[in-house]
Amino acid sequence: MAGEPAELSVLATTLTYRPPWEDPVTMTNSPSAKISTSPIAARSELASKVYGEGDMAVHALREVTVGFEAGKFTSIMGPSGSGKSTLMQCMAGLDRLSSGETYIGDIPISSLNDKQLTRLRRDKIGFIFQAFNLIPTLNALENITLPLDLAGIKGDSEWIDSVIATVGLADRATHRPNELSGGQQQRVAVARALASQPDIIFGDEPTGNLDSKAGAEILSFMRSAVNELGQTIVMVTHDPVSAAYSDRVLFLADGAIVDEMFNPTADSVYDKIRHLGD
Amino acid sequence: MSQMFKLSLRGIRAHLGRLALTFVAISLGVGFVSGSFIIKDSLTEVFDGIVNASNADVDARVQAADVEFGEVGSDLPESLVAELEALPEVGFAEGSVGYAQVNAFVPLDEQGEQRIPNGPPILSFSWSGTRDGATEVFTMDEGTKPGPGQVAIDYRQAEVIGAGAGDVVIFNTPTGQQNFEVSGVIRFEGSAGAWFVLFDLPTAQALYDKVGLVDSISIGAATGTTEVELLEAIAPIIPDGAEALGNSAILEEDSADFTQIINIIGNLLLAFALVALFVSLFIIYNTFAILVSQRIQEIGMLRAIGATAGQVRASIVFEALVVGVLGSAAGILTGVGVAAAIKGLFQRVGGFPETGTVIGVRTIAVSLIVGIVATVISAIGPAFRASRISPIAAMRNEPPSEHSTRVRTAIGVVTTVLGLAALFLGLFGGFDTAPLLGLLGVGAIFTFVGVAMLSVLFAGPVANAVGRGPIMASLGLFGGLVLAVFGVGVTLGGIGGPSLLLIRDGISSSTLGAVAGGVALVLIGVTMVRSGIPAVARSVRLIIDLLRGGPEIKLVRLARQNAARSPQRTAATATALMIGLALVTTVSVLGQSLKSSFASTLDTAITADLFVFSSTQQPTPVELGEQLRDLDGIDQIARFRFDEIKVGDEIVDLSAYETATTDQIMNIDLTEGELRQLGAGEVYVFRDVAEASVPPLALGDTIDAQFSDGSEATLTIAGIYDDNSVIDASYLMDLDVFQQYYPDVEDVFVGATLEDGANAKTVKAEAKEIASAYPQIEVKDNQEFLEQAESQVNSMLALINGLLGLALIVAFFGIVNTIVLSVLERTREIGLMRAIGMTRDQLMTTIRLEALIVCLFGAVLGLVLGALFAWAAVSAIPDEVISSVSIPWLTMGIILMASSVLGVLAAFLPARRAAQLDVLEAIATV
Repeated sequence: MAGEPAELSVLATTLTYRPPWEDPVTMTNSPSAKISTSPIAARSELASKVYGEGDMAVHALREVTVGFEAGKFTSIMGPSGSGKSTLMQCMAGLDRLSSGETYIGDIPISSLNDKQLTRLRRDKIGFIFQAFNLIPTLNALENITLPLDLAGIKGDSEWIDSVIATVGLADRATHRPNELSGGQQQRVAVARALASQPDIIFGDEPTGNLDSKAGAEILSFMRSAVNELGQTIVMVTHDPVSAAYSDRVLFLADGAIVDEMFNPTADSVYDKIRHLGD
Repeated sequence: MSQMFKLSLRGIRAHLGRLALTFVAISLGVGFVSGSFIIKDSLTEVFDGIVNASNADVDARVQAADVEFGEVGSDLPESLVAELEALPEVGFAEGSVGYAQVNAFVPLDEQGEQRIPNGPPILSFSWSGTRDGATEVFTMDEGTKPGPGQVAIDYRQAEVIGAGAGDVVIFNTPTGQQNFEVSGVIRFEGSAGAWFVLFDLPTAQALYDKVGLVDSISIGAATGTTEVELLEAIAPIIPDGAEALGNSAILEEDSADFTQIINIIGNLLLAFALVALFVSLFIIYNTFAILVSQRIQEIGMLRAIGATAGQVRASIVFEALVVGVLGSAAGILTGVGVAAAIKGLFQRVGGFPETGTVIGVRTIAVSLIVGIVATVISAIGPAFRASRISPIAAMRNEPPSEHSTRVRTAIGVVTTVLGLAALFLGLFGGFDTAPLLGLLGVGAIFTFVGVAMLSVLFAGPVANAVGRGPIMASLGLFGGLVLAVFGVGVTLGGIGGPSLLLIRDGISSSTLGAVAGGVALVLIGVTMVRSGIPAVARSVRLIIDLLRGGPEIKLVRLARQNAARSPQRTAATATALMIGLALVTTVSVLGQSLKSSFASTLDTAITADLFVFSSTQQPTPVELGEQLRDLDGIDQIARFRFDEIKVGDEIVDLSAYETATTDQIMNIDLTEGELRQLGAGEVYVFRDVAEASVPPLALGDTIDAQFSDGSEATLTIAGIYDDNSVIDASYLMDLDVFQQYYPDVEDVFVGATLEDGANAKTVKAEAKEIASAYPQIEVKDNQEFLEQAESQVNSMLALINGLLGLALIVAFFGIVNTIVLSVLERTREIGLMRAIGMTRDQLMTTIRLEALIVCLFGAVLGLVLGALFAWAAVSAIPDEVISSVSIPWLTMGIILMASSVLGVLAAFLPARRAAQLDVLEAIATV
């Protein structure tokens, strides 16, 4: 497929590609200087993912082309099987596309080998999973610094301290995960994702296992990380209330982006979902 | 209930991979047991066949009756043969003689030197079965039966000395060197490694100094005469001191010797097999404990929807039963392989008959029962724990409730104390062999189980103590280097050996077997290299990071915490290794103590410069000692002789040497009396014997003694000696006096001191020259004597440790098993680590380090416990054999380092599995 002229032409056009949402208004909302160097933190081009073959083939992603703006909080929504998790996983280098390409910054990741991918995840990407985010044998602080430790980087201790303080874990730093509440555990996960100052953080239903109060707390942290630290966050969620914390919501159905919304509220997202199937 | 069994079967199918190594552990444990039985039965079949064949037409046998102490045994007159044959009830009667001493007939070269020093034992007797129609036990490879002045030699002997029918060979015989013509080459599959030198009856009688005498007479009944009638008929002419046996008694007596040897071999193998089986118990237990804890949610759900505790229990026990049955069945097949391997090994080191492979009903039954019972017993604990899981706790994925630490510790302490008590009772209680071994076995088992329970307490601290960067880096580097280097060797051997065979012999069933073996070796070798090289690379990386502070340091910590996280599991895994290593350590420490005790005996108790003795446990001819005494440069000699003496109702050992002249050679450490020449009727008594007598013997006391020729004497105690390491007897008398009672007893060994200023080398050379007339006699100086004794101990250690290797192999699979299961259990965590940036190399390093920690823990436990066992054993063993504990530091170091090799190798499979996990799937695992 790679050598076909149609695809080549698409690749050529993407070089000058500007997504429609990159309007001056939203740009001015970005407070951090960090993002101005690279307006797009991650993007995909004609990303397709097919499971199985022939009649049995399931198209999890159908030629998705999307960009995630730096310094923004983006939510990906969609019904089960819409491909939202697959998109995130392929963007994050956890899974490989059947065809197409994804970029972290300017780095195309389909050609990276496992070692390079691992380094990329370690150095440029942060993760927040739904649950079991932490290594049970390490205490909170050790969990937070684990990616840095694995990279052999000392890390900016002032930064790490401020992250820990921001998520309110200063007095819990030496606790093991089993001594922390579910909300506290997710806060550790957020802190870990922030600790290495990655280019982008991916969250897979990060509040899915939490009660609404703890969930709101986590989402507030994520929001403030974007607002105050200029962090880029992409989050998969099925909860309109969670999505309302983000700058932009992408709606997926059947492996394709079917709609999007800027500055969402819970109600507007509800509305959109309700009419998605129409 | 049947639904639960279906669940069990589904469970087995779902966890096939997880049960695979348990299956291996069971089949190895059972395989060693069934292998022991197969060897025993196969040997029995061969020897029974020989005994039956050689006595097929023999209905009765006349032989000297067993001789009691104080009676004189007698040979049968040859004339009796003719008398018997004259009876109408007798079909044939045939006399035969044999030479009782092993190695009397050693082939010599032109110079009179032994051609095969330290070769296999050589047995000599007259060729029986010369009668018509007798079943031949020996088959002729070439030539004919020996006639006068001729000899038939063993085919292996013929091969080694390159002689065949018609050649002349020189033999060392009881009456000196003599030439014989080889009449033929014989083959006897039941020889158990011994070589045979056969003569015709008259030649044998002359050689054995038994002219006109026979040892036994085989009799066949005349046609129509029953065995009972035959025995009745010959009874009147049987002389006093002889007896007549019927066919069944002959078979029983002839097979008794074989049976005894076979039982010793079989029981020895079985003992080591049981150790291996015991180790596999730990592994099976561990596996089921892990499987249960991994299935908590499933079990909780079953309980929630109405499964009773009993049903949960039964389903797990049933699962164990199925694995036990399959594993045991595979174990019987493994046993065939084990038996073949042991047979091959024994045949290589010398002396094991060609046997079939006999798989008796008993073998199958015992293997199945042992395997199934072992598996089920091991699974009962985890099954009960599973049944105690509450539905809610299970759904929260809480670990099943363990006994509280306090209870566990208490049980562990009690078990350990009971075990040690049994051990000490066995060691110091003065029991017979059977109850002694029973007590030692039970004691060891209890101690191992107790320590295993207690070791849970140390698992965390020890993991934290040994899981240090420098330790891990150096062990990983060492283990990796050893594996890489040996792996290359094994691989090349696996390729080269069979290739050479193929080129030399072409394609045949044996070369194909070698090729199969070669393929296995190549697989093992490649695995060794593949686990070794990354270990070296990553350990170097770890060392670099340790020096400059890099990320690998963190991995040590992760590994350490992984090992410490589940102390029960780490402890159970480590203790499986501990058992084998503790026994290896015990044996090694005992061996080292034996060697150093021997060295100190040579240093203090016997200070001779030259030692003259037979290499074949035969006596040293009296003339030799006399010739040595007259040699220039020899100052004094002491000739040691031993026999028995009856004091009161007890038959005890009696020793003798030249008490007058040997104060420079011997130090018997007299506590009472003075060292001087003992006169007739005077003896020294060993202190322990004196103290144990009622009343205790004191200087000047008398004892009534009877000698084995029946004569009696009253002996006076002239002294009490404390050092029995050389004498090794209850009483000691002067050689001259001893000679009066035992004129035919020869020297056991001769010690000699040199004159001042004599050239040690020259004198030794001259002594050797004199001794060269007796090929079996060796002349050694102090150092050589010590080295020889040490090398004997070393080869015994090698054999025992080799057999204990079986237990280590099982333990090795246990370590692989536990770590594989731990990796599976931590799938999600591993996925998470990989997602947030742990490289494959780092992941594999973490797992390798964890395996190293577990192995090191096992090694430390094994060394400590083994040293403790050895210390207890040394305390129990009489001082004259082992006087003090001596630690073989080098061996201990090797064991410690070897555990690093095991660790690196054990991590190979789990590390690969972990590295191959798909990150996404791993994260999605609950």
